[in-house]
Amino acid sequence: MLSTAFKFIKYDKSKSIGVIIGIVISIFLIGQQIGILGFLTGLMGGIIENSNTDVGQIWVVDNITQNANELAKLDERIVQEIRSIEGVENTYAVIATGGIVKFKDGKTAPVTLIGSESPVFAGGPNPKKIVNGNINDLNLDGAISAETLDESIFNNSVALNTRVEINGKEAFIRLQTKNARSFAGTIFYTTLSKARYFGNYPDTKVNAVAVKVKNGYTINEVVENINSKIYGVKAWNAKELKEKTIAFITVSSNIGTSFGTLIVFAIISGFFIIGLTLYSSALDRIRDYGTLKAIGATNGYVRNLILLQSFIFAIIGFTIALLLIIGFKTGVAAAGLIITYSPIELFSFFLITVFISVGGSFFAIKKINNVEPASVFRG
Amino acid sequence: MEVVASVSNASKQYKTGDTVIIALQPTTCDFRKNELTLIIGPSGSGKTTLLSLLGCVIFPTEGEVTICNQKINGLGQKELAKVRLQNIGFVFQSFNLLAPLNGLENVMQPLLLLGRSKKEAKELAEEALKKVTMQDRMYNLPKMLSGGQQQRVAIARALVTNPSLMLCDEPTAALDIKSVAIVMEELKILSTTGKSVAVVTHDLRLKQFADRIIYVNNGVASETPSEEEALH
Repeated sequence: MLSTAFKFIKYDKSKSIGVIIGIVISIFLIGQQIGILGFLTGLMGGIIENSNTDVGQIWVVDNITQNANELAKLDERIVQEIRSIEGVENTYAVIATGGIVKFKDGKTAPVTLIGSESPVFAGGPNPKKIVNGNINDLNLDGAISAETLDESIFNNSVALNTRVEINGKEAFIRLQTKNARSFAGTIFYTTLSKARYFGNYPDTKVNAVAVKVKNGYTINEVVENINSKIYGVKAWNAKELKEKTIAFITVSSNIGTSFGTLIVFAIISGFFIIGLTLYSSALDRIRDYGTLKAIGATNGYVRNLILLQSFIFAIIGFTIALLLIIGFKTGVAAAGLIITYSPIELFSFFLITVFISVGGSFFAIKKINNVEPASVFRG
Repeated sequence: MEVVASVSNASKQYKTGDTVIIALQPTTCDFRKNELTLIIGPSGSGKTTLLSLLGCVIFPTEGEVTICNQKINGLGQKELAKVRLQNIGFVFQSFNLLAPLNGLENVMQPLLLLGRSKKEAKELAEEALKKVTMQDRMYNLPKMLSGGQQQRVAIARALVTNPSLMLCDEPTAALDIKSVAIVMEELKILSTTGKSVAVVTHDLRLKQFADRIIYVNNGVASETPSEEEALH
């Protein structure tokens, strides 16, 4: 049957190409949109994602914050207060402040400065994202980190030891990160004191407190302890704050609706393009299917023959779409747009392909099921 | 002679709204081994309905149809398909070869449907094509063959499963005179190899090939020709 299905596909070249193009366009669009959405959600949760979550298992922020990119100021004394709560191993102040970076050629750009206490650097950068330099080098005078993927934004090199100015104060890039970015923009990591200095940030304030949980306690237990004992703040499991931030931005900015609509329309349009093309192809071959039935093929055989053709279309279309998606991913990576697809996402793309292709054959199968074998005797 | 297929008081009516169309009046006739039976009649006389009943592609409204001692009334679609596949070979007016498949693959189809291996199907299909002297063109697609050649491939497809009954619906209607003779001679030879061959036609010139003739007129089938038919 496989060979017969291939012959049917090969014979009707124009329609077969039409179906494959339909699948490729549909799956490429879905893959592209999901990839960009994944990139954006990665940025949304970047402040937490890029922090040292081995240390900052819990983030304590003000009690109205739902977005880690917009942290309100807290009294600095709360860092000590939280340290006294049962189950807390240690606490680390984190501040996030804005600044303007100026390069040697005079070009400027807004940046977010994340400062946290040395040597732990609970606020980040995550050691896994350091590509050049040593994290302890952030203790040097005027030391900051810079993001390699932001070179295109700055239109300037961020090589180690590059001298820049932040808010008019001299700074040196001593550490390079890769893909440690946030939705709010470019991040420079540094120590707590230097972040205060560069950002003119008050000594009595912090934006968040990263909490390490004592052995023998669960994160959720300690979160509950903090929330029940300290008024005006909210403790979050770091992972939950990241997820909440992503959900909050996705909903409030309508990014989710926008991308979701595009993806749904790509599926629907793919389904109907493929469905109608397969239907039209089945109409062209209706005499052949009728003949098969007349000579003894059952409806099940003919249905399987059509399903097999649509499955072959799905495999060919998915393979081409996957190559295009990989090409797109590689192309945009050069521009700093890092898109990653998990095996589950790729498998989901394949399932969507099979769904729209095999589902699209429903119309054709319905038509062919109704063809009477007797019809072949009518000339 | 052994009866391969029979219709017994079988009639066929179609309903279109309130109108009932009688396509075939109650008919009784047998189709026997080693016989080429012509079913002759003008267009719309009911001869294709009779052939469709024999081909198990429609059920009679009344009466019975028996193929190889198996009554087909009441069989499901799957069982009917099996009866067709195992016992009947079809030759159609418009050849009805599967356009995407070459001659050999067309002839292999019924065998593959029967569950034979690809290798065995190929061997038997090649043999069948040799019988109709089409072995040289077996790798050609139907569109590359003449009408007569396509019909010979169709005959090979019909006989490859060695069916007891071969039903031919106007097999010469789309052929030139030379091809008509070739195809009818093929069918005549087949009828001498233990098969029953039924040929529907309105071409009275084919009478010379027939062992027996069934005349169908206004839905009535009879072995006795009308006065007008007897004159031809």
